[in-house]
Amino acid sequence: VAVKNLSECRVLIVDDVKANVDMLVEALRGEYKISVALSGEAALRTVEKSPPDLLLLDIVMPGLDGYEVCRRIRADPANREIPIMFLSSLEDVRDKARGFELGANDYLTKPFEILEVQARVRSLLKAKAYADALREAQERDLTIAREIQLGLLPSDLTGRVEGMGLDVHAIIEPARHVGGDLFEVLRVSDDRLVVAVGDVCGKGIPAALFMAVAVTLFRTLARQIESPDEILRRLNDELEAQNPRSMFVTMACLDVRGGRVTCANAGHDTSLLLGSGPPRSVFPSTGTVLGLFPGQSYSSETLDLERGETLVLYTDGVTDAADPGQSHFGEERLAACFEAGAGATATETVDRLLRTVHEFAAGAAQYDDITILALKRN
Amino acid sequence: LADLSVALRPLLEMPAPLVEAPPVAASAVDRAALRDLVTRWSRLLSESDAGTTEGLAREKDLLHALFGGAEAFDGFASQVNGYDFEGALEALQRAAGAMGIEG
Repeated sequence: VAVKNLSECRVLIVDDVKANVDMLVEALRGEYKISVALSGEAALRTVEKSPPDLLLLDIVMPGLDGYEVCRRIRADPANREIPIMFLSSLEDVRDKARGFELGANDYLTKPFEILEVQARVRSLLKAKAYADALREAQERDLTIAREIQLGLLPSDLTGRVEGMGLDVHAIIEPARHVGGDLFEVLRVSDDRLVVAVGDVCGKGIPAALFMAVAVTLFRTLARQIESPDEILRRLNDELEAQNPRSMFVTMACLDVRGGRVTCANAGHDTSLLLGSGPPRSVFPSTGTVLGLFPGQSYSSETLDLERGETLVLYTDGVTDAADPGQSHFGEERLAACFEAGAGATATETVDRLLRTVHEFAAGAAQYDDITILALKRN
Repeated sequence: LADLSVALRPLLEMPAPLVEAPPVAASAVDRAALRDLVTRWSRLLSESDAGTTEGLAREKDLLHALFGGAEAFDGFASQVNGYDFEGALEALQRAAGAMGIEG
């Protein structure tokens, strides 16, 4: 783990009394980069433009006092990790307690010993440098994990349906670096395609690991077993047998032969059938989620996909997508997205839905993975 | 002419009076150096960097050239030394703008 050199760290001194600032600048000069703000307002502007590695913050100042500066800095998620040390003449223990309640990391009363300030500054900067380094290492690992996870999913879908009179496209957008959604499009013979969309409970590394196991098992079983209900039955038993954390996955599994589509659904969202009429929900759940309970059975349903019709499979990251006011995208908006029919291609259908979800979310944080798969019969 | 030459000789042999060198004219300074100065100082001042108080002495000549004289420079130096970095940044950018320099 590469830890930042402390001489590269920036300390922001905030005090309305220039003599105090001069003393602190002199004490820390040469060791770190020093920024200065003579008011709470100027401090907030400086933090916004150039977030420091440490704030030395006076409390009693005209305008915004140190408490308010601290509160506003902590209110911004981007600045929650910046250490803040109050330097104040307020000695009452309640003043100190208030400072810590507002998110301060340290509190030193004036008059202070320069040697003590130097030691505490060094200690806080060291702790932040290590925490930053660990976080960056973790981010790097998660980025690699995402690459590996996306590498588990099929990339060339067009090649998998070649000569079948089908058009297929899928996307996956993890909410975090790695997620628990999955999809698979498996060409098991000249005239048979097995398609699946699934959603592992939870997010992050645990969900990603469980997803990797589920998708690997699914591939093996789908090549050996003809019917989707039996594939899910076996997959459930295999996952349940080695599941120490009691995780589970929902999954819709489609067996496609020509225009005939058979689906077994283990607790997953319904699919959407887009044709000449209004969008129609098809393939409801036909059994429980996979991985929790042994010996479950699943039934299946069949429909004939007419030429020009499109099936849309998705995960609940679509319907649960939230806008800034915390309203959910929901199934009505999902259906409304396709009132005028599907896109001319599977890719257009997927892109339209994803674009509509993004427009609805309007930049609000994405809390769940989003997966969309469209299968069109040409 | 001979008389005039004799009369002027002592004057011509006198050492020339000492004249203080004029401040470096902006036009005589490399514009690239000024642009670099403005870029660097804009960044430091927007970071409210206290190191600028030391930079004043180190880069006095170039800053003089940018501000076009002692008076404007002194005003800028006073802002920097008083930690009024936002005011100093405005002054720097005004001076740069007046010289057609983009930082």
